[in-house]
Amino acid sequence: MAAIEMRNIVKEYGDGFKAVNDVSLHVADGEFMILVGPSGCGKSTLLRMIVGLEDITSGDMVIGGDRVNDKAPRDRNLSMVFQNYALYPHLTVFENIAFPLRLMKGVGEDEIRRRVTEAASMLELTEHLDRKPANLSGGQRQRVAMGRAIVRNVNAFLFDEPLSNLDAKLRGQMRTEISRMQRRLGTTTVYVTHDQTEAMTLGDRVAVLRRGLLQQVASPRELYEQPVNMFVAGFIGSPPMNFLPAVVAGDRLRLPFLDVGLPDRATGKVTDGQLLIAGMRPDHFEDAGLLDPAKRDRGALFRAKVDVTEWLGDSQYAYIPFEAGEEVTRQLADLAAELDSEALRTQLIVKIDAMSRLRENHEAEFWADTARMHLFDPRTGANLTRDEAAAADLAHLEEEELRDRVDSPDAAPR
Amino acid sequence: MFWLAGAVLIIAYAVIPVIWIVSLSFKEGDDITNKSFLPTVWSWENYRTVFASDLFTTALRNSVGMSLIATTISVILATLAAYAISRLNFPGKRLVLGVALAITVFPVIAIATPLFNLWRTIGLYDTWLGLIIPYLSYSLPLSVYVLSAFFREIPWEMEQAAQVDGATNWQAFRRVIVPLAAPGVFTAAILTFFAVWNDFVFGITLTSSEAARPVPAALAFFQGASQFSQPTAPIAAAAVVVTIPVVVLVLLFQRKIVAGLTNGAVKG
Amino acid sequence: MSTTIPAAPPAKSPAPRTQRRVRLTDRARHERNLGWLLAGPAFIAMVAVTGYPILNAIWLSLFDYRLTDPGGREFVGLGNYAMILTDGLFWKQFGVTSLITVVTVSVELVLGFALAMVMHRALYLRTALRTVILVPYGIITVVSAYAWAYAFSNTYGFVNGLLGLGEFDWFGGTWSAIATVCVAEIWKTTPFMSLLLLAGLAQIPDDYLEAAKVDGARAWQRVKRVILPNMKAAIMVALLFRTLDAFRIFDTVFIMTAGAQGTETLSFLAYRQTISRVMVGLGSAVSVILAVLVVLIAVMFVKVFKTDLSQQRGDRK
Repeated sequence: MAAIEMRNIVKEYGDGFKAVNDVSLHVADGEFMILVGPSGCGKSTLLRMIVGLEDITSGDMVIGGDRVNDKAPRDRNLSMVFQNYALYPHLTVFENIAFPLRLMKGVGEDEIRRRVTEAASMLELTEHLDRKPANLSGGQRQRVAMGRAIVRNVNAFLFDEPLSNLDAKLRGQMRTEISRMQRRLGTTTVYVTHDQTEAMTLGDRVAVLRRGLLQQVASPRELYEQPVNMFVAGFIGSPPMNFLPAVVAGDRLRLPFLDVGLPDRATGKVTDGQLLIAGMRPDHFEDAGLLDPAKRDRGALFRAKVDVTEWLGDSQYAYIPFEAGEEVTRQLADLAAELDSEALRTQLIVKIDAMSRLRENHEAEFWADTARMHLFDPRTGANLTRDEAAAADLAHLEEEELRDRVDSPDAAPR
Repeated sequence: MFWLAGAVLIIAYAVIPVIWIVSLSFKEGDDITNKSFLPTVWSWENYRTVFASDLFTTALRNSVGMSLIATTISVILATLAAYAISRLNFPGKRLVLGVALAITVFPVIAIATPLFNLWRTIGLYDTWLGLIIPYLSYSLPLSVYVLSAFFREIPWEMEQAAQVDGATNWQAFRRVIVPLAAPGVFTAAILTFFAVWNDFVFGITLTSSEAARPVPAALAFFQGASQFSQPTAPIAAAAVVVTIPVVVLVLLFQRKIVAGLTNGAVKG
Repeated sequence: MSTTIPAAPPAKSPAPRTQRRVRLTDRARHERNLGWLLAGPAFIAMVAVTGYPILNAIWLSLFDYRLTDPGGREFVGLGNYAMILTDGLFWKQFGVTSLITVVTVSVELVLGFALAMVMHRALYLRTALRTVILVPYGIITVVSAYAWAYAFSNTYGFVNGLLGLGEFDWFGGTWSAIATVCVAEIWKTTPFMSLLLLAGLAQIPDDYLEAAKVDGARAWQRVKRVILPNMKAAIMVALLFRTLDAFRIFDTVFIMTAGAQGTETLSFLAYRQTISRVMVGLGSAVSVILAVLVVLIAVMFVKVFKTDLSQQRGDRK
């Protein structure tokens, strides 16, 4: 086990395109780090540079104290689970898992058998050991790939979108399995995904990348609560954060449907009449009729006509279209394109209690938790209202949790 | 029904000429010139004739020997080259492909005549080696293309996984790629064998005696007592004999051959 | 085994990508060496045997040189070419070669497409079809030529009887002799064409055809508006391969007519000049002209018809 230290890592292609641009990232020993971002953000390239399948143009890659830039993958003592699992079709499950051991010198047949059996039982593959990969289900193949990764004592596990080929239900199960396995083995892990749910649920910390540039590295909670910019805010969370035009009018802020006081943290950073973008998460809203009265004063009430509602059993979404004006619409379209989604129309998505009986095409009264609203500069995308103190608290919390886990002796001995 | 009729027509199309030459090879005496499709009496006489003829048996031995040797070497070299071309980044890759393409485009006859001069000078004329070498260079492009297609079908991750698992480039090639490419190598071998077995141009230009003359060339030199008594039926019998390996290979490996000819799409 | 292949040629740097690379990592260098180590032997085998003869042929084509009279060797520059290109016989043979090429390739395309359709659609006999179609492909060209020569022969053959032509001598006239050559050639090579087309056909998702059906297209409209446009690449590649092959036709002509009755093709001319008449200089010039024509045909296909060679073999993924 080892920490992974990336210092000013750059990947530049022959045509001058920088797939990874000056990324510095420290993955602590035993930490579960997620690399996340839309397609083409450089996350897979970065992972492949860690493992050595991609040359590093400049910067230092240090694993367990050794600079490994010029080392071949086989000399880095890492294991990797590929998106398509990369199981060897001509070998049985047993031989697939045993493969890395067979390439090592001085590992006896008994030792190999013991270690493969152990890994197989941990992944519940024991009864499939004699089968060929072609005869396995998607979930089983995925587990064989994990078996091959954990059979050696490696410095770190690397995962390249390992769940993207599974259906939704299996993905949820395997997510939990991966998390459990990593907690149990306590091995440093770097996990690439484009799925923000995986990012939020699995990682100790999440590194958000955009066009090769590192945007923010933080715990899932901090990313959600205190994003540094509009990109991170829009990427993390599902359904995504609502972005609304907001015009500064003295010490007030005018939004569609709403008129609120300018948040303290924004004062001094904005000028009168300036157009900003306000970010409000769907769960920062409620049907005013079902609101806990204690919350009422923290936010603001407004009336709006609901277009479509989606009832999900445990919760409910309501869609409220609004006119955003040309500039904001264009901004939002650009952002959506970058996030691999499509800007179809400007609408407010609010999450309300499942009990609510809103009717489509009727006006209703909503409550918005305006205290948790963020304001973004439309030109730079920077968050003008990030609460650094709160962020630091969250980071501290996360660090303690990790230290707790890595130091705790309950991690199963290998 | 329409497709079934079409299928029957195709089968007739493919086999009638073959049956014709088989039937001719079993004709004897007056039957040979009876101009009917089938013989009245089936006779092994022509087969006895050709197998009694040194001209044919040596040619057959030449053909079999040279084809097998050329195929084996060609496929081994092509496997290595195709792996390099489809997987590794090295300067001059395009040059290798360019040369391969140039050879497939260049008329065989245009190579055969200068080779004729060269071989006479350096003593390779009318020897096995003198034929195996051009067979090699002419079959290499085909095997390289076919095999590159197969290699490309093998997911990249296979070797990358092997490398991460601790394999050297060579180990990755040996332990992962070669087993996966085995069906492709086999297909390339069959196609190469067909190509070499089929050779006629080199066979007639680079040989002058039985020492190295392969069957197709020997057939053309089969002569009866005079120009007017061409040994038609024995030629037919010899033709049938050299067609047997082709038919056997086709029957056994139909799927592989079709896959290799079209796009090399095989799944492990 | 650790040395590099010394024959590594001064490759023109293939892409700007390598020029920009400041320094090679160990891994890249290792990859380079391994690349040449693996590709080197095949490369040498290809170049050694073909490179010299091609250059030698070009060189010899500039001489008036008869093998039986080495002393009389004389540099004539482009004289051989001038002699060939002003010779009516050459143009006649060029015409014969072109005629055979155009006729066989067009018939093969139509027939091959029909075969491919049947093989693609047939529910029964699928395997049998694909097996049987390989027999003409795999059979030795010389054997095929003999089979057809004897079939058309008015001494041995059944064709005249079948067509009620009596004692008609197919090999007695230019046109009928060329026709027999074409028949043999078409029989032998249509399967190859049809397999390439079949691969193209198999690439068209059934969805397209079902969608066209729902949109109201009849069978012929589906072929014309959906199948053919989507097979363009496969058709062009099949045509290119076959045209190049057909233009070099030699074996069939040699066996069936031996060039008699004005059926000589360009390959046959090159052979006869060099091997039979030992006019090495003249024969080499014919070879070079033939090679240039073949390259021209290939270039024409690639440039004019925009044939994408990478489409055919495996690059799809």
